[in-house]
Amino acid sequence: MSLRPALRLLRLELRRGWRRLATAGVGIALAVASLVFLFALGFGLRVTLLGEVFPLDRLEVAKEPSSLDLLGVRLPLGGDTLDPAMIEQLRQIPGVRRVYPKMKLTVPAVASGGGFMFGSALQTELVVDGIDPDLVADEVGPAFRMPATGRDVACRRDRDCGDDAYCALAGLASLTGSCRPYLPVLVSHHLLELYNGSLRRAYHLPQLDPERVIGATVDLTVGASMLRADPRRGVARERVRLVGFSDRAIPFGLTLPIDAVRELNVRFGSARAADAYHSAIVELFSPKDARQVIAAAEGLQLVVSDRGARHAAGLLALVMAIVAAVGVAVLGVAATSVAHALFLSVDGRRREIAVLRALGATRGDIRGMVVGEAVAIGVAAGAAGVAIAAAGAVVVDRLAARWVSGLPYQPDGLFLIEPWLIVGGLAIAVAAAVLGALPAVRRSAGPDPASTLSGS
Amino acid sequence: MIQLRSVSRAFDAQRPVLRGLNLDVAEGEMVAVVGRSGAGKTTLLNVIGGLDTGYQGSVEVSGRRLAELDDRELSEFRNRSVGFVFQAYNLLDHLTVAENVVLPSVFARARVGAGGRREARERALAALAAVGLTDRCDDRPAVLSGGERQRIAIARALLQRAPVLLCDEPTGNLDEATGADVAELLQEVRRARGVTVVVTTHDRAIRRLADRVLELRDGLLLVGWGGAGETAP
Repeated sequence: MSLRPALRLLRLELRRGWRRLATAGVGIALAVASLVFLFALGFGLRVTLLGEVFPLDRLEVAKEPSSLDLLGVRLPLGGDTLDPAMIEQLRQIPGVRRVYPKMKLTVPAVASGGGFMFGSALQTELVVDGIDPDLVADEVGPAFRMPATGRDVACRRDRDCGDDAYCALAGLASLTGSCRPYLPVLVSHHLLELYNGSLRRAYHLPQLDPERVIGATVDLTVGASMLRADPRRGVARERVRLVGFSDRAIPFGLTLPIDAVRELNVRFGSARAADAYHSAIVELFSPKDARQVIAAAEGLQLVVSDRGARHAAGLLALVMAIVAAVGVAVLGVAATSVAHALFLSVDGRRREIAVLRALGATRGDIRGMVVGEAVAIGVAAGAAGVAIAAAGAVVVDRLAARWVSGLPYQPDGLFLIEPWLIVGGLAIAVAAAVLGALPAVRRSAGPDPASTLSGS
Repeated sequence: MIQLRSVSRAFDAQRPVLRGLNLDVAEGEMVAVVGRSGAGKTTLLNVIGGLDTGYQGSVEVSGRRLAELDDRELSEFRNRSVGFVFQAYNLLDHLTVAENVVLPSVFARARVGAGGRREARERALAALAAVGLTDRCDDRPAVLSGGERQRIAIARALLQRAPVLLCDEPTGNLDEATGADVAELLQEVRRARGVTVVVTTHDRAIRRLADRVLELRDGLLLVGWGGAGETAP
């Protein structure tokens, strides 16, 4: 087949029959639109679920706790922490990029304050986690690092201590104290979403703007509890300052630099608490490595605590496979419409094709002309399909933003139309049209031009 | 120029259309083939023109033995070496006159005669000038008379400067006067370009212009009567 004659014949044919060809491509356009729309939705949800809700390139592993069931009561036997040797073993697993140990605060803590945010000061029991500041360096930068202690500066009020410290009074009745740096703290996006979506309504509190609450401070009383506290241990008072939001922060509670939590755990516990990690975030080179890393971690008697990622990924993969199968079936049906249209077209042009053969067209030229028509149908239908899908995505995104706002975990957009999805949509449209054209292609080169012309 | 040896063609084993037919046509000669309908005149032209390859025997045109050519070579032969003029014109109605005329150049493989679109149009205009229809180049065939359409078909056949013109009843759909004009045009073309013409016809005007008239009867070619010296009955 020579390209030049085929293209020139195609140009002439498109001028005559573009409406017929466009009609033949409607089915493919709708099928491609459905496929691209659903795949874009699937990929968008995948990004949200696996990137934000269940990140798959990071796994949290913890030691399986030992316990004893006694008359229906589960008694912990201890030994549920990771020591530095175990952390090092995790680093040696192939596919692991970095390991970030995490440490829970092992004494109760109560936060109080926040009057300027909530309208009145609140007091609440809190869960506190400590994480490696490197884990969130790409999100919040150096703001989450442990502050330098500095020299002891006497003060009477916060303004005496500058922007990065507050005045810690010597006692409840004391009028003087010394400047202490704020402890940086992170809050998860989920917590903010839950607060704005649900909690604030239940407690009649104002909605929080994440940009405006950065820098807010609350007092943290470690060792105190609204439930049960050990008065013999005393308390430690710190003032924490919100430096950012992160999905790597503990979902419900406050997240401090791990050194701060380590210091508190040692103070309220023992020196061994300094190396007792409660879990570790294992960062992978690729989500594809997850299977082997999980297996290796399980070999170290560790459990992967966020299997939701794998379940979500598996569920999404299943849904998208079903979408693909349905899409292929719909495309197959659409291809038959192209087959029908082109077959009739070729049959109606038998005499014309015979004339072209008499004038020097090879069988390949004729086949090329029909394939070219199919490609033109495919390209036009694919482009229309992708455009319909993109328009549909914009409409649905806008409707979703208008009608279902305020839900937790709501992403910026439900759809993700990657360039390769557009190219893929065009490619499968062309492939479907060309496959549908095959009977017509065979038919076009089949008839003997002599007998066709002699039949006049 | 054209040499047929023992050429037989049968669509039905009981009734062969051509039976061991021999024919020699010299360069620049005009041969008219007459015969009753169904005698095999069109089949003879199709065999000479490489449209029908289901024959037995030997067909040689312009020094090329057609049986030895594959589909691509046969297509190139039809494009470069022969021009077809059909009784039913066989113009494509969705193309303009100029586009119809230029159509053979679409399939020209070699650069010679292929050229660009501008060159193709110039050649189409030259071919249309040769048949006196330059002013109709942008019209559609449907608005033209039968005689004009046949002239365009002749212009199309002339475009690639083929040395052989095969005309199948070129005046069969035309009235007597128009047919005479088309016959004159064929004669002019033959003289001006020195092409070899094989024409099947019932038209006395064409028979009179031919160098030889052969009759096809029972699948055999008989030395005909008439020709250039034929007088009107």
